[in-house]
Amino acid sequence: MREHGRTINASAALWVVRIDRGLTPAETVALEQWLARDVRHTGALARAQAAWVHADRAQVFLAARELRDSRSTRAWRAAMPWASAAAVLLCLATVFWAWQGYSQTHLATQVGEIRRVPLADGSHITLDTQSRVSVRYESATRLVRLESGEALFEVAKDPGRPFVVQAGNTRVRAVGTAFIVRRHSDVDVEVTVTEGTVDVWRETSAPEPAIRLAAGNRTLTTPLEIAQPQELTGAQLAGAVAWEGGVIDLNGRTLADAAAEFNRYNPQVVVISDPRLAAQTVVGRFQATNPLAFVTAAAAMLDARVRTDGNRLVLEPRPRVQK
Amino acid sequence: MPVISTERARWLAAHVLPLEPQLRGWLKRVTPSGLEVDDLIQEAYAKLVALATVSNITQPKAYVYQIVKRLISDHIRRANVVSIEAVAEAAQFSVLEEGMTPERILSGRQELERLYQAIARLPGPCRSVFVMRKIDGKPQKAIAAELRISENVVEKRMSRALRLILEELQASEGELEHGSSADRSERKDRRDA
Repeated sequence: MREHGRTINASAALWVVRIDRGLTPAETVALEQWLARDVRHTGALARAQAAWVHADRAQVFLAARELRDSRSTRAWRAAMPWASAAAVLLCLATVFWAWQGYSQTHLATQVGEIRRVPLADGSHITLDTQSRVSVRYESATRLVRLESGEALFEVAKDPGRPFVVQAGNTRVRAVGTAFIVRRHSDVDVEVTVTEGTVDVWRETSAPEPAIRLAAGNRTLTTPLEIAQPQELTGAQLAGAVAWEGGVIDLNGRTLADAAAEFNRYNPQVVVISDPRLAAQTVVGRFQATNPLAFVTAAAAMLDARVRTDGNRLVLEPRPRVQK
Repeated sequence: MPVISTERARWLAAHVLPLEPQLRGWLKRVTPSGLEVDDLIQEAYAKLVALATVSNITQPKAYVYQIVKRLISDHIRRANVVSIEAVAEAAQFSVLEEGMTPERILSGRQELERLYQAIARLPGPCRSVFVMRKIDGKPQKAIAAELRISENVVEKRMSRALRLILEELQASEGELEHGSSADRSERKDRRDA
């Protein structure tokens, strides 16, 4: 009789867990035999491994108390420094929002931290690494100032109270939609819309018309102008929102670019001094807080090597062997 | 991780795992009798593992559907008896209709929420070991010592957790989220008629 798919999935899950803890030589042989027996076994194992890797994204739930039951309190305590900071911030936020009226709330993330915070009206702000916003809800407007970094805004519909994000002199107004605002410097601001439409304009001395930006489009405001909206491909859009899951999506970006991106999230700095190497493009998705995985993969792809130098991960060309 | 590279597992996690609810929903409708959806899914993953590289796949979704379609027709060719209706429906499916839309992209967040739910719904003992391994990053050995249970028990609970999470992730709740619901209801109407 043919083995049932569910039975195979159960065996595959067990193998993945055993691989994770390290196989004994006898188990390695047993695994090979199991895989050779039926092509579905290989597929089921790949699928279970994919889920296992996918579950690493759960690291962003570090502070989620509900996921820990009473029996693992020790584990909970280990996560305390982190979790308590987040909890305090959230408490503060709640207290502030209870007042709502004219009070202002400040939210900030540390290096490598990504946090999604609910607002009183059902909207959500997801702060990327090293970002800071202040939120002020008034009776006629919902005002959010992006002081630094990058954030994703998911706005609850409220036509009577527009949601306005300020980033320098750039303004983005939405009614009910989702979009990302990123401050590249003090003056350059990038706006990417993932859902609905928003209006983008700059507060300047001479009044300026707003441009309308639809889902899947991006624009950059600079001191000179608001750039013509650019329609993003699916892959580009995926890359733009990847950070939200703690992932850096390197969709054909140069190594120099990629290193700069990782350095936003980590105290450990990726350095690529060789200009030819820095100009190479790479593809892949990486955990934002794991620069070592990135440089190791890049080294393997580009025939380079990794050198650790104090707090720096240096990626450099492999030295030529002298004949 | 041996056997299947972490890179490949990561690619599968990013591009194929999220497709599963939708893919399964479609397969449930088109799979001819005598074939099992689970089998086809496992065979499709096996094909994706066997590829030398996936870096040239620019449209993973279309690619995966293509693989599954080919698997079905291979099975049909090998089998003698097959429902004509199923063949016709399988042939009708166009990968073009399954374009990448912003809604699909946004599901990055939904996927994270799904993962959260899947972990939250695990039975307590399974959840403990899973959270300690995946969120706290502790090795299995350390988990066994800390919870004062054998490594074998950790292994059993962990693999059960993984299996339950997979079942949760593949559940077809997401079926309506993306894809061509209009086309789907049209097809259903036709069948009802």
